[in-house]
Amino acid sequence: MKKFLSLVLMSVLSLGGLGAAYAENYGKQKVAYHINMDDEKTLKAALGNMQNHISAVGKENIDMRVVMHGPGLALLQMANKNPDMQDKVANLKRQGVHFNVCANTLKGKKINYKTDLYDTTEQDIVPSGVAEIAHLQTQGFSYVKP
Amino acid sequence: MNKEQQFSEEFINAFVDDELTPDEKAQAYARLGDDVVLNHQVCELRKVRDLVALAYRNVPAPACDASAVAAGRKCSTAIAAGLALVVGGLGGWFLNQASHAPDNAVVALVAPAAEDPAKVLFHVSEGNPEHLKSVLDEVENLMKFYQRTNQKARVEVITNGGGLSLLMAGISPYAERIQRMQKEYHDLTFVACQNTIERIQQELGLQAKLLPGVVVIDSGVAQIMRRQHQGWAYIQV
Amino acid sequence: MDVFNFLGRTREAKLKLEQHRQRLYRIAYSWTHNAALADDLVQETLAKALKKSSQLRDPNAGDAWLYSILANCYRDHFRRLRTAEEIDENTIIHDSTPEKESSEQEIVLKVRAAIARLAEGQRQVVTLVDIQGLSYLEVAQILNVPIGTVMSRLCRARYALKDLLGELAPKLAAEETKIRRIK
Repeated sequence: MKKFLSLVLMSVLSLGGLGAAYAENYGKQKVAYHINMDDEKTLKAALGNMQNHISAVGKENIDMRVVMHGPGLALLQMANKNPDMQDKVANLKRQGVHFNVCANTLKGKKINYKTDLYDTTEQDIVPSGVAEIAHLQTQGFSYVKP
Repeated sequence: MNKEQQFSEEFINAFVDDELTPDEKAQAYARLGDDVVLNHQVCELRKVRDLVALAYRNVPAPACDASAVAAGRKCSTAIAAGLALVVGGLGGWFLNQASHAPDNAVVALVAPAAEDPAKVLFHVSEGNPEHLKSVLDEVENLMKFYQRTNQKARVEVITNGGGLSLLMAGISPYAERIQRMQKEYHDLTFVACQNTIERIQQELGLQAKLLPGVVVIDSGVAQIMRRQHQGWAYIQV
Repeated sequence: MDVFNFLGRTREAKLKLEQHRQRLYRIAYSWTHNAALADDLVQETLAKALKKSSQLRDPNAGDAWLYSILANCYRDHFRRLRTAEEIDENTIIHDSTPEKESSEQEIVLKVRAAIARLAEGQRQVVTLVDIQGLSYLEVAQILNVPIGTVMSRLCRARYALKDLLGELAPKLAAEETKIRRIK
């Protein structure tokens, strides 16, 4: 047991070290994930990609924004009901990821962000998801479409 | 205008400033393919234009010091700041910036160039009618957003692969809507990929006819890369 | 002047006023290269504009009419100034921002110096188009000249700038647009 625990401890520590090493290589990254699909498989895979991305670079070395519009709000709708997805989103948020939702879509689809979306506050709302993604790119964010 | 005629200086400048009609633009694009001299001219003009914009991105603000005020010179930033105080507790970082202008220094920045037009390209590579409708919805929402917020914007919709059906006459379910959008929104361009057009010809024996006002580019992917290199935002729909 | 009453209490009107001021100032500076003079011009412009306060409040009103006022004020002021004092070329250098020397700053100063050497009409056209992104039609209305005049002044301005600026613009890579024509 002791050996196992110390192995676990070592792997945790080395992960941190790994992050630092990667950080040397990749530098501080800014990335915007564009989410406008509602297929559950794709969304789950996307959340996985995001976590991998953070693990590779280190959470202090990345500024990640997830911008949802149109059908993409399904990500937070599903997270509201699906405990596995909720966990993933919560975890990402703990590592500093911002989840932004499009005001146009909220209005168009008559979604109540307080009751229908997981853990979404007024600060998370942007007037236009697409404009936000365009704006982030002018601020040096890379664009990723899972 | 036939091929042998030289484009006038005015025409080339107007092309660079996007002041041409879609037909004229298409002519210019067509000529740019072969004409190295024209390419060079366009390039030089763009450089000059960008230099001018760069040179005034940050301008020295007027000094708002006590002696100036004493001399009877009120400062326009002070007036704006005063307004902010009167209304009280206004958010909006523009006003915050103005009221924080230090008293005795020449502040280097006015606002960052918020007037730089937003440049956005949409990449459409799939063509099922539902998807195409959502593409047009997204484009229009964006144009309306920029209109509402009084922002200048240049938007291109670049189609290749299956996405070309958006712009094919007789095939696109949205010919009228696209025509309306072209009229209604300034600086919105629909672009078709020549490579895709040729592939359709070879594989399907179909001669693609395009909707009016559509611009043809050599390769959708190459255009996307060029635009990204020029600082355009990229949206895949 | 009771600006407050003119504009009403809306937050949007205040924001709009500040936006107008900044945009006008940028153009005024590009015409005068003198911060104090530019500021005077903008104040005069806003004061005149506030008399037409309804247009200022209208969210749909474009900016062109404001630049008309600016252009008129500039014409009047400049006329007054010309008889009163020399416009010293040195003001361009004295007015440079107190930032550390960088190649971008050198470029900026060179470009501003070149703009200052243009004929007044050319300078006004090229700055309104390139800094403010106004259309040819808007510029024609602002300067009260035919659109053909705008186009020819713009051509000449850019041609002159190309000459004056020579080998500048290291950052701006040449784009080759290779577009084939369709048969």
